[in-house]
Parts: sequence; C-alpha cells; structure tokens
Amino acid sequence: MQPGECPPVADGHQVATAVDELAVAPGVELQFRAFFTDQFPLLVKFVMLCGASLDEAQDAAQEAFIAVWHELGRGRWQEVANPEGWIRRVAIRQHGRTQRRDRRLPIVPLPDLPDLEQPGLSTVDLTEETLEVMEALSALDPVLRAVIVYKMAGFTAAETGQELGLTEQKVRDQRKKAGRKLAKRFGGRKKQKGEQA
Amino acid sequence: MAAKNGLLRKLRLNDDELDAVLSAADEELLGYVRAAVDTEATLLEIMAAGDDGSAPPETPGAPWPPVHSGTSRRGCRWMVVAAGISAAAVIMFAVWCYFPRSIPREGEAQGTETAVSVKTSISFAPHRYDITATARTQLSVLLEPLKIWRALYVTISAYADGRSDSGQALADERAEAVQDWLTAAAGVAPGKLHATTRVLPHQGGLRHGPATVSVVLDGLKSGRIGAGGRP
Repeated sequence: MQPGECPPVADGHQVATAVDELAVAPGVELQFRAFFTDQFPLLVKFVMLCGASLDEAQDAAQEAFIAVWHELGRGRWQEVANPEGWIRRVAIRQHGRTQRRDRRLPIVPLPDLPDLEQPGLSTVDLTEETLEVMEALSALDPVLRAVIVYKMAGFTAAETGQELGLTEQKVRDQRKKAGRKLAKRFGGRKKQKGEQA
Repeated sequence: MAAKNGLLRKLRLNDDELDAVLSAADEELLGYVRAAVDTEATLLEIMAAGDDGSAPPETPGAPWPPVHSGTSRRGCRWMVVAAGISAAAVIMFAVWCYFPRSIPREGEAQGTETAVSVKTSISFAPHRYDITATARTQLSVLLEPLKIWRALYVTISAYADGRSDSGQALADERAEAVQDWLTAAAGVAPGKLHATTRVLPHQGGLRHGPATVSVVLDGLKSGRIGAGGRP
C-alpha cells in the first residue's frame, strides 16, 4: 500500500483519511461526533461569556476540539477525567494566546472596506439584557468572571475549583463576591423596570 | 444611614433574581450560537486539521485564569524541575569557588592561563628592609584576595642595587620581611609563599637601584607559579 493511501475496510468502503492516520476507531469517531455536537455550541458560548467575540470563540473552540481529536488519536483521551472542563480550559487558553498574539501584530492602516451586503447574525441580534450581562461579566475581575461563567456552565464549586486551581470554599467566596457585584449592577435595571410599571 | 443601606439592598437583585437574569442571557446566547455556527462544517474542518500531521495546538497546562492560590500538577512539576536545576547550579558554583583545583607542582609543565592575578609593588629606603606604613597600605590590597581565594600562590620578587656586595643579602632580607608580614597579617601558609630575590646590575643613572619588592598573587590555573618564581 502506498503512503497516504486509505486502507480498505471490511465493508469495502474507505473510511476518512483522518480517521485512519490517527488510528481512531470508528466507534470512537462516533463518540467524538456526539461529544462535539453536544459540546461545541456550549463551548463557543462559554468562551463568549469570557469576553470573546463569536468568531474568536468559534476559533478557540475549534482549536480545543482539534486537540481532543489528537488526544483521541493517541489514545489518551480516555485518561481525561473531566472532558467538559478539559475542553473549556484548552479553549480559554487558546483564546488568551490568540489575544496576546494579536496585540503583538503591527497595525497596518488600510482604507475602509465597503459594508458587506450579506445579511448575517451579529451581536445586534441579542437582546439588550443579554448584552448587558455580557458587558457586566467582562467588567468583572478574571477570577470572578471565571467562577460565574463556570457556574453558568453547570459546574459545581468543586469542579470549578479543580479547573481554576482554587479550593472549593474559595470558589464559593468568589461566587458570592461576583454575585454581589452583578446584583448591584442589575439592581438599577430592576428599579427602572419598576418605575416603568 | 441604615435607611440608605436598606434602600441599596432593595435595589439589589436577590440570588434567585440574579440566577434568572443570568440563565436568561445564557439561554439566549446559546440559541444565538446554535444559529450562527455550522457545526457539521466545523466538525469536518476539525477532522481535516487532524489529518495534516501537525502537532496538537494546545494541551491544558496551568489553570485559567492565572490565580495565586494554587497551580496545576503539571505546573508544579515544572516548578520543581526548575528549582532543582537552579539548586544544582548554585551548588556546583559554590563547589567550584570553594575547593582548590589541582595545584601544579614544582617543575610541572607551564600553563597558559591565569585565573586571578593581583600585583603590588612596595619600595624600601636605601639599605633598609623594614616595611613602612605606606608599604603596609600597599600590601593590604592583597589580603582580601588571599582570604577569598584559598589556593592562591604568592610570588615575592625582591631587587636591590647590584653595586654593593651586600645587595643579595639585602634583597633576601626584604623578601623575608614581606613574607613575615603576609604570614602574620593574612595568615598565608608559608608553603604558598615563593620568594625569589634578584640583584640588579649597576646602571649608571641609578645610584641605589630600584630597591623594590613586587608581590604577585596568581591563581591556580597558572603552571608558572611553582616553577621558581617570576623574573
């Protein structure tokens, strides 16, 4: 068999080259697909809540799943105790790395481009309340933001602590602190609504 | 004040209200992402990216965001390795500084390199060999290196005017005086002191000759130290 040629399988078809070269069993590939379909939007949303734009979050999430795919190929994915936490950590670190790299890139002045005619989704499609939540989260300290975002993603205090390197009690304290800040901020909106009513 | 605090508390959301606000935003954002992202196309891209044989883009390491109260196991491991390497380097440097290296013996092959070399020169009054206060000050620059570097050799070269018959004897006396002073002041072992004396031939312009003693400290890398002194 020539290098790069896909080996025939029992049913006469050739599986994807990626699956062959990484030696990912078809069953594992299905498992990966299910995990991806379930977690990818959640991961993109998670990175967005951490302050990324949709494109940035999508890129970071994609890099995280490429890492998952590689780990699967090496047979190490089964060793990951908390897959949901793992991909979030990888995605966030990837996002941070991209941001640092972008800051280092020189800014080249270019003429303004004409607006694209293609209609597409943008943050304008989000309601004011959601945008305000995202803005409030981005105004928090990184640790406070992280504990809240992990809480919104359904992580317990213990799991969050494991991901962030904090004790469970510390996570609870930080959650309370972040909650107080957010409650104070959203209280103004509550007052405005009350007055309108 | 209490009324103000009460008002502020009323303006804050309670925990349930805050959870409701956050989950509403979370749900809406998730719907937005689901509508915006083509998951099937992304999946194909991911599997194609894994096909190019490139290294995985990232593996999780230190926790995010960086926190001061804890580190991941991998981060700890690297810190331990770095600390070990630093400690080993410090110990090796200390050993290198503290222990004397091999000392060349008398008549051994001459080296080409000198690690440390400190020189000073003192003058004597004509026909005298007592060390003056000025000479003691000049010699004291040798004391600190002699204390720090345990394996320095001291070469003392004494000169006297060659016109007089007693020139050689005077040069010997001067070298001995310097040896005695160094032994007493710096505690230099006598084995480390190598005195050579020389009587300069008479030169017309010099009536009494230079009447000086030069003292040279040399590090151990020099093979010239034990080979009979400096000219």
